[in-house]
Amino acid sequence: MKLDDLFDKAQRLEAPGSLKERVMNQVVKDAAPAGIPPLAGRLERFFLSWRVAVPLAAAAALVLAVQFAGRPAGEVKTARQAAQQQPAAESPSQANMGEFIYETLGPVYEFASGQAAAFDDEPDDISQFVSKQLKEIYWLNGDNNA
Amino acid sequence: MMSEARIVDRARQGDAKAFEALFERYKQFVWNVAYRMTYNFETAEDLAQDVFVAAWKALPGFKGDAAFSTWLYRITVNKSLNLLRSRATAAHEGDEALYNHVDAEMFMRQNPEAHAGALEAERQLSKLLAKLDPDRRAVIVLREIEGLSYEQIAGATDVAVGTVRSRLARARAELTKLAAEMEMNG
Repeated sequence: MKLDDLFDKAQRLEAPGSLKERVMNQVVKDAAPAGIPPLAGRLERFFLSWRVAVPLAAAAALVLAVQFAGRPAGEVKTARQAAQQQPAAESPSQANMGEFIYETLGPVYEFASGQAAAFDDEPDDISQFVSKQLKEIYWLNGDNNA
Repeated sequence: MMSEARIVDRARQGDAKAFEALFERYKQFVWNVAYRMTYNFETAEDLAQDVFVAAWKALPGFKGDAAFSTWLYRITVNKSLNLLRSRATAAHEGDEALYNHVDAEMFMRQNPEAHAGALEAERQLSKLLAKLDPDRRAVIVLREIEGLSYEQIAGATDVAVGTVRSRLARARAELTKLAAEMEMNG
């Protein structure tokens, strides 16, 4: 028998009825395959699909066009123009600066004087206190022990 | 009527009814390939079941880059080739007699509408296909019996169209030679 005759005579066979039963039993048993995508996944797929993405992009472009259509270019301010129209910032006065220095450095001076008084039982000022500390460091690390 | 893409999408989401619709659509293809690759009724039924269950489990990962049919064809061919190769490597002398043999009673019961020459043609075909290596056997079944295009076969076997053409030409040449020998030997 020729090959082509053989192929012509071979016909498509019917699948056995038991196959469906076997397959569907297994499918039902495994139902809810790894597969049910979570809601977030479904939403992502929905929004990523071009059928939705294209109209959404078109709508967004339309909204932007309407938003800017009524505004001539002259009305749009640059960042520098906007800054120039702000009220001038307050400039520091001499009195304010003095008050700032007094408030910031005053406590330091008072603290140092207090420390010195605590050691020597007599009032001291910051220059004497620092000088005394430096002499002590010099004595311990240099002069007499060298 | 629901499109196949929609049915596949629903099956992918775990809808067993949608998968049943896909089964109905492709059962004949899967069965015919499984049967012609083994010519053993029970093995073919196991194989066909294996194909559909594997497809069901893998469906969530089906991206839809290729047509569902191509994807299912590929699963069918891969499962068939794996079976034939594993059988070839672990073959027992006695086992081979179980395959490539058309059970006439079973064949007629399954195909009561079969024309007179169908059974004899199937017997001869089973003997010829048994002598081909699995890859050539697959392209012959897909092309000559299932009528798939070269492109569809390339998708199902994951090779280039050119490879399909050359594999098919060699398989046909081999079959022609085998058929002549068979006829000579009576």
